[in-house]
Amino acid sequence: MARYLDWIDKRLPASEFVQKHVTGYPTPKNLNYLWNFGSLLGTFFVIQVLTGVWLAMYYKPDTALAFDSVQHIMRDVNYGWLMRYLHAIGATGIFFSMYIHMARGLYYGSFKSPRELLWWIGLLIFLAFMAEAFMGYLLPWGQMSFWGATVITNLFSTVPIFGPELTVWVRGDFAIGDATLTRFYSFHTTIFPFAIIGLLVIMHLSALHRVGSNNPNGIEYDKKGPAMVPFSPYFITKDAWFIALALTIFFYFVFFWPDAFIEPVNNEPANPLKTPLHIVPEWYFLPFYAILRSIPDKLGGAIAMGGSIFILFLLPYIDRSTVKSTRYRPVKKILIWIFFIDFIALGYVGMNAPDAVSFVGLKMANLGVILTIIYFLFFALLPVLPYFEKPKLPPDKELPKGDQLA
Amino acid sequence: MLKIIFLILLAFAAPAFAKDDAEIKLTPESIERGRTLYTQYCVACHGLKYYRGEDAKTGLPPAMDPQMAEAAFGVAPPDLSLMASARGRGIEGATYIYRLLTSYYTVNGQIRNKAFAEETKTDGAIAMPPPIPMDDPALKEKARDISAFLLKVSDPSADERRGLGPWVMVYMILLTGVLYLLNRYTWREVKKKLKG
Amino acid sequence: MTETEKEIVTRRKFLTGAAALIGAVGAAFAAWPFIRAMSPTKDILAAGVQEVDISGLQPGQLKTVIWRKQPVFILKRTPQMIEEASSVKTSELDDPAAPEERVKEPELFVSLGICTHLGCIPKFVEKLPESDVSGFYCPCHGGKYDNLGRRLGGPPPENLHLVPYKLADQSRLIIGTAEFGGYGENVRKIQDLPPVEV
Repeated sequence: MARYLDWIDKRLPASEFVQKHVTGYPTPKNLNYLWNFGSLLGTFFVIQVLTGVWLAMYYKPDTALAFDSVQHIMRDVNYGWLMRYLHAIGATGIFFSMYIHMARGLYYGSFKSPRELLWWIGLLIFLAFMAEAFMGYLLPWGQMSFWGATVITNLFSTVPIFGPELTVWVRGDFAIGDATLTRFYSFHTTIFPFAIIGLLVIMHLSALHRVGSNNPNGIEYDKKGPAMVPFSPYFITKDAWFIALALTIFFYFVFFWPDAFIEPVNNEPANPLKTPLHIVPEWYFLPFYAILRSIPDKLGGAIAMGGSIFILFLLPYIDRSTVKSTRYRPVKKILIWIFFIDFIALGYVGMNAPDAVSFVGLKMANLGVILTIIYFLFFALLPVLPYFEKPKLPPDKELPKGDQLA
Repeated sequence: MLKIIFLILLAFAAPAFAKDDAEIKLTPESIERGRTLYTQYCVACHGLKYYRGEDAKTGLPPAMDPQMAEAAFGVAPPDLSLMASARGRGIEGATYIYRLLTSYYTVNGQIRNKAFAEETKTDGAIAMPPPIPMDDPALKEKARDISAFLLKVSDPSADERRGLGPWVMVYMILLTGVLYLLNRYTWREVKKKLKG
Repeated sequence: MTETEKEIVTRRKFLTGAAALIGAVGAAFAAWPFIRAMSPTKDILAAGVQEVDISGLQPGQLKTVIWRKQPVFILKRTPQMIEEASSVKTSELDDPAAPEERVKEPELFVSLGICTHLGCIPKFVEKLPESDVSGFYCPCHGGKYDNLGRRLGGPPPENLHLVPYKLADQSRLIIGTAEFGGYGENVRKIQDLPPVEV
């Protein structure tokens, strides 16, 4: 065996690659379970690619056939229902892991130097997945597919001067139609997953392995020091059992509650003459949808929504404290929890009609404005924090007691 | 005359069309009865193009031409293959169909439907006349069976899913347990070495 | 906990083995839906049962129908053809099959119309080349079969494959079953075919 491996290694750095990027990667041993969501995200991506390839064997990107072909998959293809439910619920798996992964980075300052580029590539992956999910949602050609795509592509019309022309160009027709469906299908199944997301993931991991993983203390430990363990076997087993746990929950939904994440209205074929009473995007877009709706101006709403994501790119420069981890920052700790709750509350607003009355008594539209202001206020306050915030414990190079093991 | 009084009474009794009294049971007998009732009361206008059964491997077409039906009723009668799943998750959609079939009433001779009014947020003016007469003594049983049948048609993988699901769950719990123990033992070794 | 380091290592090795075993079993099961999803779908299988009207078929006439996207020969045999085929010595054939193993009713021969050599469609001829009996001749590479589809010469390795069929009545022939398999994969004897329901 060693002989054959040797033969390969002389010609291809296989062992070296595995040693450098998998088995031997020095990992801080004090990582907590929030650090498991990156590998979980990768697992869900693999599930999406596999089931997606299989669905594409039977799906037909044609407005006259798309809806029928999904039912063909559900009823005639052996295990077609399993492929579709894995893929549909897998999207939720991706965004669930991604939001926790991002929240962890936000909390422990994983975007700070030297990880700015790592953070930016991650945000690009986030944007690519949003586009990927949005385009994929059109493919079943149900009512929500059609009207969701109509509403979101309409955002392009807010672009000054050539907005309307741009919208028609994006759709390839004057409304969402066959041209839109086939181009979304093309992007969704080719360059987005394989080139854009695939490439960005490789860059994300390369950047990570150059700068090393952050850790709950936010201290840059010596890579050869006692704070590190090799990735194998310690984090292989930790990731493995956590992925198995997450997939158990995932399979519970797939087998026992598959319609939990499928909007009922989308079981009606697209009808360009009848708008559903209430258009709701998938849950993972709700907070941003709420920000979009909170500004009563069309262009303003689009700018606010774009800004709410763009501002994340500026984080390495906005959050100026020299202390990475929020563990040691009493004021940021309060602010960040307000921010997290605010984000979930925005999702709640996005889920309901603007005129509905929320449980706090305010109309959803008004509540949305307040929550949007809080969202941006968080980023506005971050730069001034270092002027008055006293970090609790100046983190030193030693591993604090009680943090020997995660 | 009696019929009109009955219908007026029904209109007043509208709040009694609560979700809970549907009691739809997904038993094979109910679904089978629903299948028969469907051909009696529904198939004249509504097709089931995605239905797969021993007798109809590629769906059931409506008896009436859709264009003629549209001319007669003002709207084309929709295909009902996915109606149960389009009106709510799980049993909710079937409950809606049950309520629709049982909540007809008239206002000044105009047909109204309470379930339809709630769903569409309108006055309940529905194009479909009552498929099962409102004075049919077995109305509720019939509506229940048809709803059960339509729910079954809209969720074709239900049996396969529920058959496979428990095995997948048992396997995943076993796998998770073994990997959890493996992880614990992997880290314990380090801990001992660190202390020693 | 009073485990020694050795015990921990042993237990870890055991658990690694158990996890690998369970994982491998799971991976094998997980592959199954993906393999099955590439098999013919249920509607394709359902379309595998086909009814053919043979009321107008004259003796000596060949009817070719498409069944499961493939040509199927239906040959109404004349007494002379039956005689020709029975004069062939079964034991001298490369792929031996008696006439009663090739047809249910002597007057009707049903098989896939695909040459077992490289998949061309053979032609029915009154006289096979260099011979004076009727049969199927493949123009691609000169494969020869008698009127029961038994290989007489040329490159084909075996007899024409049979398909499941049943005569419902004098004018209706039912071809195929709704099962995956049993549609002619190396089936050379009619007795090996799955039963057809009428």
